[in-house]
Amino acid sequence: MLKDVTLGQYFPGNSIFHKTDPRIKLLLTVAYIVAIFLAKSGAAYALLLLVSILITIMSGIRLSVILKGIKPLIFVVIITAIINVFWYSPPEGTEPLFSFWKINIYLGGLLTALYMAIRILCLILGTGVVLTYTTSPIALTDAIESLLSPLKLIKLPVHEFSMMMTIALRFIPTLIEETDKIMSAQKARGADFSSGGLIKRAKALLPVLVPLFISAFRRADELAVAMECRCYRGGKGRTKMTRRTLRPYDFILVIFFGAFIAGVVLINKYIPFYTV
Amino acid sequence: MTAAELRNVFYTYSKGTPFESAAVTDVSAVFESGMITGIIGHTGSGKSTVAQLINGLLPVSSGEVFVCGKNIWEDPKKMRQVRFTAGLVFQYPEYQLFDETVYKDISFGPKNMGLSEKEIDERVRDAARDVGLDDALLEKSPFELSGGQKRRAAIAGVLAMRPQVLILDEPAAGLDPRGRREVLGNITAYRNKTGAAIIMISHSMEDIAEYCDKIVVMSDSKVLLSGTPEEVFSHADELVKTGLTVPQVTKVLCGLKAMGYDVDTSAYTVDKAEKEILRLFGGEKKC
Repeated sequence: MLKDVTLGQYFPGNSIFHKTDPRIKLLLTVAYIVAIFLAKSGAAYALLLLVSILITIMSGIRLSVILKGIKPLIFVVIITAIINVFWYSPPEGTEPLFSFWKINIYLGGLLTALYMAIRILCLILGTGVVLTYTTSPIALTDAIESLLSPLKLIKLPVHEFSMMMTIALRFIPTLIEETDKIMSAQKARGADFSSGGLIKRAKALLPVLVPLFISAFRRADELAVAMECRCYRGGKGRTKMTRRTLRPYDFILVIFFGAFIAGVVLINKYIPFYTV
Repeated sequence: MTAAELRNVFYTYSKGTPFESAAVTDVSAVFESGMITGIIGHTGSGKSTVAQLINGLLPVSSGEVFVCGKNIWEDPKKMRQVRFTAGLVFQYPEYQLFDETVYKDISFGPKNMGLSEKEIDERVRDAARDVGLDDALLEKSPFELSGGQKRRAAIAGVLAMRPQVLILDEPAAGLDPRGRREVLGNITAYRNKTGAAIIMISHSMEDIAEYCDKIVVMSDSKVLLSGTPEEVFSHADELVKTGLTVPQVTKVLCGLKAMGYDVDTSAYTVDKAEKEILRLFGGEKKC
């Protein structure tokens, strides 16, 4: 049930993306998002789709897992596409492709819808699937801390932020498991979470939320004590167990993504077919 | 009389993901009314999964589950009824207490059954008495109780549904010796009073040996041995091989046998072992 939510989960593996330095991965994700929003011509969108599918395959995550992850979002993609078809306002004097009643459908509208769908799909595949499925939460927050560390100069508590994030991420699966367990226990006493109106369902969740909150606070207390016992006193002078160094495939990926952005820009300029 | 039965049940967790793992493989077991059946095994041997399969919280991957003679997956719409008949007390049930007062918390189950006010009141007080909670405690917040009292309040919440099959997952885990004895005593008393089938999951061999009429030993998601305590503990070698142990007194008898004494190693409680040793060496009980 709740355990079946896979988006944002880490799947251990052995692909090039699993081995890449998480800092590089984060930066490349930003570059990748920039590339997605730079695309204008039809050919550029084709390249986007191609590269997204390529990196998804390269991540070595099983197709069934990926489909399960993006299934809930397909709805969003479709709705966005439909809205774009109808809300497209064409330049003066464009002939509609076809029209019935008061609705005009333009070629531009259809293209915008298609491009929007590709964009969202690429975003999900690149950030939701490739980045989070191949990067453990710890590596991710480590990378964020490292990338944000220049902000320490202006006295921002970067380490504390990243520690909070690590802890929050660390406890998501624990809390999901706990929720599952408490729901099962209340179901065993005849609780019914899946019938009745909105108010009845919200009320039915009370026997789950109260124990969940209590245990979350208890956990927080215990964690604080455990950290205190191991002499945790914040980030100052703290060293890392694993030192990350850049390796050849990090550079290969950087070159690959650099070529990707350059490709998108060049295609926009030289092959501007079906540009919206 | 057979109260609950598993027939060739399989269950797999997270099917179709890289985290897929078999939790229960071809398990068949019969649980009889008026008997306490212990399920024992290592962490991860599948015993808690079995508990949730019996009352339909987890769907079987294949195989059949019968409660009071009915296949529970025949009509999934009636599953709530099954859960009232086969009451399940989870591990550390005190973490599921939620209501303002102990009374209200215990009445959660009976209320869900749709009983009348009067019937609910009677059942709550009855269940509280069954687990030895004072009437004065009923009006307190469950969060003010001590650990042992919380545990008993949570068990009362399930007893108030008067289940004919009562499943308890590690009911005595984390309690002090006195708390253990009280809780396990309450459970035995409930069995004597109602004739319900009790299924008790534990990894304490001593508790199982002392309180259970029948034992099912699980190992690696399969049933390894099942039968009366005498039968099961006579396979001491097999139990030890899978990393489980036998009650300490049985170990003493096995030790004696290894030293060459002609001793029957099937005794598993202190009383029986004492008799056996006295028989062997002769003489009277001194104190």
